Amino acid sequence: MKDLKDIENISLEQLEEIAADGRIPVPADLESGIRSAISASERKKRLFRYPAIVSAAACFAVLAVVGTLYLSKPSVDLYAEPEDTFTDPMLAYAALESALGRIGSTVGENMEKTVAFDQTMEKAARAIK
Amino acid sequence: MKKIITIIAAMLLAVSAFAQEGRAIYNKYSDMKGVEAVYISPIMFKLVGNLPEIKVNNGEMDIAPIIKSLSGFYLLNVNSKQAPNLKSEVKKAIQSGKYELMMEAKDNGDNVSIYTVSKGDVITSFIMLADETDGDTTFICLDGTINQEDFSKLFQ
Repeated sequence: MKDLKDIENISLEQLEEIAADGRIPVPADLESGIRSAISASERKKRLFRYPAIVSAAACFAVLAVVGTLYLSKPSVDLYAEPEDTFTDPMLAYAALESALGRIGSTVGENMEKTVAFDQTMEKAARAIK
Repeated sequence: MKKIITIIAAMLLAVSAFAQEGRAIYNKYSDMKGVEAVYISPIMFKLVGNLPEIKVNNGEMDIAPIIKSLSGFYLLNVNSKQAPNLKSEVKKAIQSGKYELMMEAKDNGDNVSIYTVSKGDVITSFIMLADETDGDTTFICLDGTINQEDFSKLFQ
Protein backbone atom coordinates (compact mmCIF):
# COMPACT_ATOMS: atom_id res chain seq x y z
CA MET A 1 0.00 0.00 0.00
CA LYS A 2 1.45 3.34 -1.03
CA ASP A 3 1.67 6.28 1.39
CA LEU A 4 -0.17 9.50 0.68
CA LYS A 5 3.16 11.24 0.15
CA ASP A 6 4.17 8.66 -2.46
CA ILE A 7 0.82 9.14 -4.27
CA GLU A 8 1.25 12.94 -4.27
CA ASN A 9 4.73 12.59 -5.73
CA ILE A 10 3.65 10.41 -8.71
CA SER A 11 4.52 12.10 -12.00
CA LEU A 12 2.15 12.59 -14.93
CA GLU A 13 3.86 9.89 -17.01
CA GLN A 14 3.51 7.36 -14.17
CA LEU A 15 -0.19 8.26 -13.83
CA GLU A 16 -0.70 7.64 -17.56
CA GLU A 17 1.07 4.24 -17.27
CA ILE A 18 -1.22 3.29 -14.36
CA ALA A 19 -4.30 4.40 -16.32
CA ALA A 20 -3.24 2.39 -19.40
CA ASP A 21 -2.66 -0.74 -17.29
CA GLY A 22 -5.56 -3.05 -18.11
CA ARG A 23 -4.98 -5.28 -15.03
CA ILE A 24 -6.37 -2.61 -12.65
CA PRO A 25 -10.18 -3.05 -12.32
CA VAL A 26 -12.26 0.07 -12.96
CA PRO A 27 -15.59 0.29 -11.07
CA ALA A 28 -18.58 0.17 -13.48
CA ASP A 29 -20.21 3.31 -12.11
CA LEU A 30 -16.99 5.37 -11.89
CA GLU A 31 -17.80 7.60 -14.88
CA SER A 32 -21.42 8.28 -13.79
CA GLY A 33 -20.20 8.96 -10.26
CA ILE A 34 -17.68 11.53 -11.47
CA ARG A 35 -20.30 13.23 -13.69
CA SER A 36 -22.84 13.48 -10.82
CA ALA A 37 -20.13 14.89 -8.50
CA ILE A 38 -19.29 17.58 -11.08
CA SER A 39 -23.03 18.43 -11.57
CA ALA A 40 -23.54 18.71 -7.82
CA SER A 41 -20.55 21.01 -7.57
CA GLU A 42 -21.88 23.28 -10.37
CA ARG A 43 -25.36 23.41 -8.78
CA LYS A 44 -23.83 24.52 -5.50
CA LYS A 45 -22.00 27.38 -7.27
CA ARG A 46 -25.29 28.54 -8.91
CA LEU A 47 -27.11 28.45 -5.59
CA PHE A 48 -24.40 30.53 -3.96
CA ARG A 49 -24.75 33.17 -6.73
CA TYR A 50 -28.61 33.45 -6.45
CA PRO A 51 -28.87 34.94 -2.92
CA ALA A 52 -26.31 37.59 -3.88
CA ILE A 53 -28.41 38.70 -6.88
CA VAL A 54 -31.58 38.81 -4.79
CA SER A 55 -29.85 40.84 -2.06
CA ALA A 56 -28.50 43.30 -4.62
CA ALA A 57 -31.95 43.67 -6.22
CA ALA A 58 -33.58 44.24 -2.81
CA CYS A 59 -31.01 46.92 -1.90
CA PHE A 60 -31.61 48.68 -5.22
CA ALA A 61 -35.39 48.52 -4.73
CA VAL A 62 -35.16 50.05 -1.24
CA LEU A 63 -32.91 52.83 -2.56
CA ALA A 64 -35.33 53.48 -5.44
CA VAL A 65 -38.32 53.80 -3.08
CA VAL A 66 -36.43 56.05 -0.64
CA GLY A 67 -35.21 58.20 -3.53
CA THR A 68 -38.72 58.51 -4.98
CA LEU A 69 -40.15 59.48 -1.58
CA TYR A 70 -37.47 62.12 -1.13
CA LEU A 71 -37.89 63.60 -4.62
CA SER A 72 -41.72 63.60 -4.49
CA LYS A 73 -41.79 65.65 -1.29
CA PRO A 74 -43.24 69.04 -2.28
CA SER A 75 -41.16 72.14 -1.60
CA VAL A 76 -44.26 73.96 -0.26
CA ASP A 77 -46.43 72.67 2.59
CA LEU A 78 -49.61 72.16 0.57
CA TYR A 79 -51.82 71.91 3.66
CA ALA A 80 -50.55 75.01 5.47
CA GLU A 81 -53.20 77.71 5.99
CA PRO A 82 -52.80 80.43 3.35
CA GLU A 83 -52.76 84.14 4.12
CA ASP A 84 -56.09 86.00 3.96
CA THR A 85 -56.40 87.93 0.69
CA PHE A 86 -58.45 90.70 2.32
CA THR A 87 -57.98 92.56 5.57
CA ASP A 88 -61.32 94.37 5.22
CA PRO A 89 -64.40 92.15 5.86
CA MET A 90 -66.42 94.27 3.42
CA LEU A 91 -64.09 93.33 0.56
CA ALA A 92 -64.26 89.66 1.59
CA TYR A 93 -68.04 89.95 1.66
CA ALA A 94 -68.06 91.41 -1.85
CA ALA A 95 -65.91 88.56 -3.17
CA LEU A 96 -68.18 85.98 -1.53
CA GLU A 97 -71.31 87.63 -2.87
CA SER A 98 -69.86 87.57 -6.38
CA ALA A 99 -68.74 83.92 -6.14
CA LEU A 100 -71.92 82.59 -4.57
CA GLY A 101 -74.02 84.58 -7.02
CA ARG A 102 -72.05 83.03 -9.87
CA ILE A 103 -72.48 79.52 -8.45
CA GLY A 104 -76.20 80.08 -8.02
CA SER A 105 -76.75 81.47 -11.52
CA THR A 106 -74.63 78.75 -13.17
CA VAL A 107 -76.46 75.89 -11.48
CA GLY A 108 -79.83 77.62 -11.78
CA GLU A 109 -79.48 78.22 -15.54
CA ASN A 110 -78.49 74.63 -16.20
CA MET A 111 -81.30 73.30 -14.06
CA GLU A 112 -83.75 75.42 -16.09
CA LYS A 113 -82.35 73.91 -19.28
CA THR A 114 -82.83 70.43 -17.81
CA VAL A 115 -86.45 71.21 -16.92
CA ALA A 116 -87.09 72.61 -20.42
CA PHE A 117 -85.51 69.52 -21.95
CA ASP A 118 -87.72 67.24 -19.80
CA GLN A 119 -90.82 69.14 -20.93
CA THR A 120 -89.78 68.78 -24.57
CA MET A 121 -89.23 65.05 -24.10
CA GLU A 122 -92.66 64.68 -22.47
CA LYS A 123 -94.32 66.42 -25.40
CA ALA A 124 -92.48 64.18 -27.84
CA ALA A 125 -93.50 61.07 -25.87
CA ARG A 126 -97.18 62.16 -25.90
CA ALA A 127 -97.00 62.86 -29.61
CA ILE A 128 -95.60 59.39 -30.27
CA LYS A 129 -98.41 57.78 -28.26
CA MET B 1 -38.55 36.72 -5.73
CA LYS B 2 -42.25 37.21 -6.53
CA LYS B 3 -42.91 38.43 -2.97
CA ILE B 4 -40.15 41.03 -3.22
CA ILE B 5 -41.53 42.36 -6.53
CA THR B 6 -45.07 42.59 -5.07
CA ILE B 7 -43.85 44.52 -2.01
CA ILE B 8 -41.83 46.94 -4.14
CA ALA B 9 -44.82 47.59 -6.47
CA ALA B 10 -47.11 48.30 -3.48
CA MET B 11 -44.59 50.75 -1.98
CA LEU B 12 -44.24 52.66 -5.28
CA LEU B 13 -48.03 52.95 -5.58
CA ALA B 14 -48.25 54.33 -2.03
CA VAL B 15 -45.75 57.04 -2.91
CA SER B 16 -47.82 58.30 -5.83
CA ALA B 17 -51.25 58.18 -4.25
CA PHE B 18 -51.39 61.18 -1.86
CA ALA B 19 -54.72 63.09 -1.56
CA GLN B 20 -55.30 66.52 -3.20
CA GLU B 21 -57.85 68.87 -1.71
CA GLY B 22 -59.02 72.41 -2.21
CA ARG B 23 -56.40 73.92 0.12
CA ALA B 24 -53.57 71.91 -1.41
CA ILE B 25 -54.61 72.94 -4.94
CA TYR B 26 -54.88 76.59 -3.83
CA ASN B 27 -51.45 76.58 -2.18
CA LYS B 28 -49.86 75.04 -5.24
CA TYR B 29 -51.19 77.61 -7.72
CA SER B 30 -51.76 80.81 -5.74
CA ASP B 31 -48.21 82.16 -6.14
CA MET B 32 -47.81 81.26 -9.81
CA LYS B 33 -47.65 83.82 -12.60
CA GLY B 34 -50.89 84.27 -14.51
CA VAL B 35 -52.98 83.20 -11.52
CA GLU B 36 -55.40 85.36 -9.55
CA ALA B 37 -56.03 83.94 -6.09
CA VAL B 38 -58.48 84.74 -3.29
CA TYR B 39 -58.58 83.05 0.12
CA ILE B 40 -60.95 83.83 2.98
CA SER B 41 -60.09 82.29 6.35
CA PRO B 42 -62.43 81.13 9.15
CA ILE B 43 -61.53 84.26 11.14
CA MET B 44 -62.52 86.51 8.26
CA PHE B 45 -65.76 84.53 7.87
CA LYS B 46 -66.64 85.36 11.47
CA LEU B 47 -66.14 89.05 10.73
CA VAL B 48 -68.16 88.78 7.52
CA GLY B 49 -70.89 86.91 9.38
CA ASN B 50 -71.46 89.99 11.54
CA LEU B 51 -72.26 92.09 8.46
CA PRO B 52 -75.83 92.88 7.33
CA GLU B 53 -77.82 90.39 5.26
CA ILE B 54 -76.14 89.30 2.06
CA LYS B 55 -78.58 88.91 -0.80
CA VAL B 56 -78.11 87.54 -4.30
CA ASN B 57 -80.47 86.73 -7.19
CA ASN B 58 -81.77 90.27 -7.41
CA GLY B 59 -82.08 90.61 -3.65
CA GLU B 60 -84.39 87.63 -3.31
CA MET B 61 -82.03 85.31 -1.53
CA ASP B 62 -80.34 85.79 1.83
CA ILE B 63 -77.10 83.82 1.85
CA ALA B 64 -76.02 84.80 5.36
CA PRO B 65 -76.79 81.27 6.70
CA ILE B 66 -74.47 79.80 4.06
CA ILE B 67 -71.67 82.26 4.80
CA LYS B 68 -71.91 81.56 8.52
CA SER B 69 -71.47 77.82 7.81
CA LEU B 70 -68.28 78.28 5.75
CA SER B 71 -64.78 77.73 7.13
CA GLY B 72 -62.75 78.29 3.97
CA PHE B 73 -63.14 79.93 0.58
CA TYR B 74 -60.59 79.40 -2.19
CA LEU B 75 -60.76 81.00 -5.61
CA LEU B 76 -58.24 80.63 -8.43
CA ASN B 77 -58.51 82.22 -11.85
CA VAL B 78 -55.79 80.71 -14.05
CA ASN B 79 -54.80 81.59 -17.60
CA SER B 80 -54.91 79.17 -20.50
CA LYS B 81 -51.28 78.05 -19.86
CA GLN B 82 -51.94 76.86 -16.33
CA ALA B 83 -55.49 75.64 -16.98
CA PRO B 84 -54.59 72.07 -18.10
CA ASN B 85 -52.40 71.53 -15.01
CA LEU B 86 -55.13 72.84 -12.71
CA LYS B 87 -57.73 70.60 -14.31
CA SER B 88 -55.54 67.54 -13.88
CA GLU B 89 -55.00 68.42 -10.17
CA VAL B 90 -58.77 68.67 -9.68
CA LYS B 91 -59.21 65.39 -11.53
CA LYS B 92 -56.77 63.72 -9.09
CA ALA B 93 -58.77 65.08 -6.14
CA ILE B 94 -61.97 63.70 -7.67
CA GLN B 95 -60.41 60.31 -8.39
CA SER B 96 -59.18 60.03 -4.80
CA GLY B 97 -62.77 59.07 -4.14
CA LYS B 98 -63.80 61.87 -1.80
CA TYR B 99 -65.73 64.05 -4.27
CA GLU B 100 -68.97 63.22 -6.11
CA LEU B 101 -70.06 64.83 -9.36
CA MET B 102 -73.03 67.09 -8.70
CA MET B 103 -73.38 68.69 -12.13
CA GLU B 104 -71.59 68.97 -15.45
CA ALA B 105 -72.60 71.30 -18.28
CA LYS B 106 -71.03 72.02 -21.67
CA ASP B 107 -72.30 74.88 -23.80
CA ASN B 108 -70.43 76.40 -26.78
CA GLY B 109 -66.99 75.93 -25.22
CA ASP B 110 -68.09 76.93 -21.71
CA ASN B 111 -67.64 73.88 -19.50
CA VAL B 112 -68.72 73.78 -15.88
CA SER B 113 -68.23 70.91 -13.44
CA ILE B 114 -69.40 70.87 -9.84
CA TYR B 115 -68.28 68.34 -7.22
CA THR B 116 -69.25 67.94 -3.58
CA VAL B 117 -68.33 65.96 -0.47
CA SER B 118 -71.34 65.30 1.74
CA LYS B 119 -71.99 63.71 5.10
CA GLY B 120 -75.71 63.07 5.21
CA ASP B 121 -77.52 66.39 4.62
CA VAL B 122 -74.38 68.46 5.13
CA ILE B 123 -71.98 69.50 2.38
CA THR B 124 -68.45 69.64 3.79
CA SER B 125 -66.67 70.59 0.58
CA PHE B 126 -67.76 72.09 -2.73
CA ILE B 127 -65.67 72.54 -5.88
CA MET B 128 -66.69 74.33 -9.06
CA LEU B 129 -64.44 74.29 -12.11
CA ALA B 130 -65.50 76.58 -14.96
CA ASP B 131 -63.85 77.11 -18.35
CA GLU B 132 -64.27 80.60 -19.76
CA THR B 133 -64.52 81.41 -23.47
CA ASP B 134 -61.30 83.48 -23.26
CA GLY B 135 -59.33 80.37 -22.26
CA ASP B 136 -59.14 81.13 -18.52
CA THR B 137 -60.35 78.62 -15.96
CA THR B 138 -61.93 79.45 -12.61
CA PHE B 139 -61.66 77.16 -9.58
CA ILE B 140 -63.90 77.84 -6.58
CA CYS B 141 -63.73 75.71 -3.43
CA LEU B 142 -65.91 76.10 -0.34
CA ASP B 143 -65.20 74.21 2.87
CA GLY B 144 -67.53 74.13 5.85
CA THR B 145 -70.70 72.51 7.13
CA ILE B 146 -73.27 73.73 4.62
CA ASN B 147 -76.83 72.58 4.99
CA GLN B 148 -78.04 71.13 1.66
CA GLU B 149 -81.42 72.81 1.99
CA ASP B 150 -79.84 76.24 2.46
CA PHE B 151 -77.47 75.58 -0.42
CA SER B 152 -80.21 74.52 -2.80
CA LYS B 153 -81.95 77.87 -2.25
CA LEU B 154 -79.07 79.47 -4.15
CA PHE B 155 -80.23 77.79 -7.33
CA GLN B 156 -83.89 78.82 -7.15
